[in-house]
Amino acid sequence: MLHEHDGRRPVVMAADVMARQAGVRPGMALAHARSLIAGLAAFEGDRKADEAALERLAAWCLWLCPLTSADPPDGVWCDTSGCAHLYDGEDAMLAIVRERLEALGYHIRLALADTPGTAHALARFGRERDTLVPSRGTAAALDPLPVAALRLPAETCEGLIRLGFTRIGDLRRTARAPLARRFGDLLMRRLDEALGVRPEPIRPVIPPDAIRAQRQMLEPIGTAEALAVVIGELVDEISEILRQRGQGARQLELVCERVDGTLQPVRVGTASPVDQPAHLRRLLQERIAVIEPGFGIEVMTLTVSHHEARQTTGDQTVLERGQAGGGDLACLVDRLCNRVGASRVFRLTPRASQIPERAQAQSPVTQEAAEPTSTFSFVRPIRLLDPPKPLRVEAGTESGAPQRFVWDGRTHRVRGADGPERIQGEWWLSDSEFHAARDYWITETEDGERFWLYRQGDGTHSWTGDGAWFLHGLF
Amino acid sequence: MAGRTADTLALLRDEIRRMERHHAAAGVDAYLPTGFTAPDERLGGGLSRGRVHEFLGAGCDRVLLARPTRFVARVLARTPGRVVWLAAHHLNLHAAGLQGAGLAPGRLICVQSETRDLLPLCEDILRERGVMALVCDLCVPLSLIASRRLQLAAESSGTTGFLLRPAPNGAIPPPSACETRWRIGAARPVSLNSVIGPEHWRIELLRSRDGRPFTWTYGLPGHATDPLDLVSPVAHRSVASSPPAGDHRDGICAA
Repeated sequence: MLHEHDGRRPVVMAADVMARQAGVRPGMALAHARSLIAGLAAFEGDRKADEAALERLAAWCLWLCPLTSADPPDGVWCDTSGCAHLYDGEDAMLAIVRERLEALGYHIRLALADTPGTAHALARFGRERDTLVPSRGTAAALDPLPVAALRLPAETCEGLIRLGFTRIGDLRRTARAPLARRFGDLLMRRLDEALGVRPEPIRPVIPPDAIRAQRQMLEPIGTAEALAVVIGELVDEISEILRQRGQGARQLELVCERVDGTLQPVRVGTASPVDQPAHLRRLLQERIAVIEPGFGIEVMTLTVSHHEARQTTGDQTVLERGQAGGGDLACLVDRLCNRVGASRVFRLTPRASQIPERAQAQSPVTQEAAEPTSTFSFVRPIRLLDPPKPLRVEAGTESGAPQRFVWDGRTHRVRGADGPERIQGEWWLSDSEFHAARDYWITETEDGERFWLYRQGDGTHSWTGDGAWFLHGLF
Repeated sequence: MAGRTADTLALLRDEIRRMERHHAAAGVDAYLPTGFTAPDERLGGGLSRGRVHEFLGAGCDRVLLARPTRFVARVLARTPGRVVWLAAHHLNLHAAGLQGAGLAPGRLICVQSETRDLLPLCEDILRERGVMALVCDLCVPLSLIASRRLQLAAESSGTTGFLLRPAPNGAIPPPSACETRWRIGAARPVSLNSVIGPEHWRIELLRSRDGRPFTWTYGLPGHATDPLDLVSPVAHRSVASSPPAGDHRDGICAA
């Protein structure tokens, strides 16, 4: 058991399992605790040393993910976004964390959630020892927890309980304005942060060998031009360090500290290791628009949160290094990825499938695939209707070709048709496609427009499809 | 060593050409040939490079824009370099169809953005020198000011812009500052043969900076029955020097 002095008397600061079973609680007077247990082992606690140890533990957790942060007095946050697959999934990752931390002699409770606030609440107030909140299950997981889980001052909690709000779910279903008026902004902020409505930046532990640069402004700055100048200086500094180490940045974190003490984080990523100041500067300056300077920014810190060794090519000429098209293109792709999201910048690569809509895949732009060999033996439209639009065929020939169909509110007479091209379902993918077939026709109307139509099924056997017609594209 | 010097010289020449393009628009590669002889002649060699061109669809194709897309793909098939294809919705391009039009899908950088980011992104990409062209499925209205901005951005870099503009209600959008405006659709076939023969295209130059509107009708041979004819010559080597083998004109008429 540890004790500390609260200014009036020594009180219990923390107690182990045995002491707790005997009724010792944190905050209780030391004399009271001694009276409960004979021969109580009491040591003086040191909060500063605890905090330092927690910082060290947070730094130790960097093996798990690039962003960790101490959550005093007794927690560590790890931002494991995009890390779980390295450990074969989230369950396996939690098991590894538990195993390693217990080997160090810690008693731990783990919670994995979408927001730091929810993870904090569940690790302390959750039913289970390890909790894994599914994505979008945040609100449901929070609802049964007591309001104290929201990291609120003791008086706010007491006030809430006196008003009858014992669970977070009660708070969520109540009008916000009266609560905010009574308990201040913090209550609603904590609730929003836990629910993920409002982002909560965590102040990450800086690894000892991190590449970072910092500028403290004499006067708070707020204009885009001033931010651009500071970003330029920070980038020059870190790109010099990167070049000396032969490293390239993959992820940069720019943290702007505002006058009112809040942090504005900006994160940019690159597709390949980059050490060129022009490239990095452009990526960051493009994000200036998302920084809200408020009353001004006092400190700006640029950290390379992820870097990799660069493959240097010795025989580059000065000109090439300066502005070859390749560099421009990499920069453009990075900028686009940072702007619209990496998954929305892609290349079309062919995939081995007969079903038209499956015959292509989206792959990252960086991945240089071999030029596709032309395996298509039939003509395909340049755009596909996705999903195919149902259409009414009014008359057909004996061979199954449509003769008259209705599309776009008009009846189209078919002048000539080419087909059918039969495509069988991919039975090796799913049972439902075992007998499925489509008959594709290229039909030319009297106006000269060419439609790519298909009928579900072979027209004879009902198990191959119901015979409905669809428009899949135009030529 | 000799090879590297040659490389440097080539890069320098390229750089000088790029600097000069802004001032002197005339040059060997100031135009992107469309592959259709009559429009190319009319425009003095093809679509101007470093400008923005608009394309509309006709008939049932005015929303999906298959023929305008194929027209643009045919133009780009004759050029080297990467192409950014920007769309606000789900990008419904089909790789096999692109390949069929001669444009290798591997050359495209596809980008899907939010509708409200579409025009700023267009402008930003048009300012980029590392790409050959920008194609945008522009589903938002384009004001005169916005189109002027796009045009200036394209001029500053030499990147060519192609705006594909769906028109759900069939109305022609208000005038813009784009260099040319085209409407590409189908023409009524001349022959009465019920076999699918050549494809009939109606290519309308609705507006161009310095010229009258014009309409051409073309027959593109061998579409459905003989895919080899259309595809292969264009896919793997530049055919900018020679017009495609099967290009023949059915008739020409002024509008």
